[in-house]
Amino acid sequence: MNKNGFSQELSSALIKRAKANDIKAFEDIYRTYSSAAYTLALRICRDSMLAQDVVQNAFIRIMKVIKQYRGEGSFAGWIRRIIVNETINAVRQKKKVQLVTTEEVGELESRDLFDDNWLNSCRDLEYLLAKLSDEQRAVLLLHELEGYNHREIGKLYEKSESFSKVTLCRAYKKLKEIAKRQEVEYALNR
Amino acid sequence: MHLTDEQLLSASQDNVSSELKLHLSLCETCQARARTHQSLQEKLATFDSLDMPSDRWAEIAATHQVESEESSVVEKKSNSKFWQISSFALAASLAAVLVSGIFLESKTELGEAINSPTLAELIEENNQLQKTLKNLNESSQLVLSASQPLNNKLASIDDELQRAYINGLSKTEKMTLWQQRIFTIRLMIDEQTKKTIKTPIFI
Repeated sequence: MNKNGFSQELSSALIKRAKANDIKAFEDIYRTYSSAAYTLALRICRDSMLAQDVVQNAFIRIMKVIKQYRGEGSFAGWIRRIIVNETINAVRQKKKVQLVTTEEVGELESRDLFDDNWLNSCRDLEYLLAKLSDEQRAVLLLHELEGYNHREIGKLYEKSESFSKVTLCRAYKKLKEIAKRQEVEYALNR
Repeated sequence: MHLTDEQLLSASQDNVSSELKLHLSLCETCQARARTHQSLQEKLATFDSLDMPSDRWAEIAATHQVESEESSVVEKKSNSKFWQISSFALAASLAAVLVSGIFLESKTELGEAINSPTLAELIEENNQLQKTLKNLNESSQLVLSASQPLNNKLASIDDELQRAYINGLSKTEKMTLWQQRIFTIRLMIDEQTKKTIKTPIFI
């Protein structure tokens, strides 16, 4: 089976050559992961130009700091973290991050988000995600797909774990609202 | 009492409490909710991978090369004291290399090796001049940007420089371009200085 995205692995010999500043090795790394990096950045920021700039800056940074990669964990995972950091920084520079107030922490007490599989009937997931705020979308993707925990996400945003928890709950809540509304509209138009 | 949504969302993480795990293993309602959450996660994971719309490799490679050369200037500066002391040793070892021809395969390569510090110095001089120009622009209360022809000239040299790095042109060719850049920035500085002097100061 052909691997793609960040599941592709590169040989340690190639990484060693890149560490020795071999430009061809760097190019191989870029060609292997640039599309996965772009997909990840775009999912978070929803801005194609910004995502391309993020990828460009991230790979310049990767080339600069590759000697710091000590082989602990996968190389793809290391690249992925740099892409996430660059994307979050780019989005934060573009917009001010909304602060989560203490009253909003009450949202964590909800128990109705997963009562039914509201996403089953969803016809356009991209559309739903586009309706989320930058922070909601980023936290949702990082926590649910990229395997980040709340502490790590909070750290990325220089905030507490609560910021991540509230933002994730809120992201799901909003997705559910829009998906339900979409379902009703679809039923009425049939 | 059933798990909150937040507890359910954290259930897959390592640092989950044993009470939470126990509840989840016993409560059918929460298990059903956890399954729903899992299927939502699976749905989210069905995204297709997208291709990068533009190939940015050329820009990345060029920027990396310029940055590498800049950092070699910094390194060279920090080592300058050492070289001042050991210049005789350097000359002696270079002479040894010349006679033996062990490390350098061709005359061209030798020429480039000797020229490489000069290229680094040219880049450093460019950076210094660029800073001077920036300071001049910032210190002025009025907007006194350089004339369009000079700006255009600088932009075209920058394009050529980028292409030179991408296409791997020789150091001599790169040096010529860096020298042209120095000359153009000097012209811009002169022009800015003259404008600043001519501009009357209103108090």
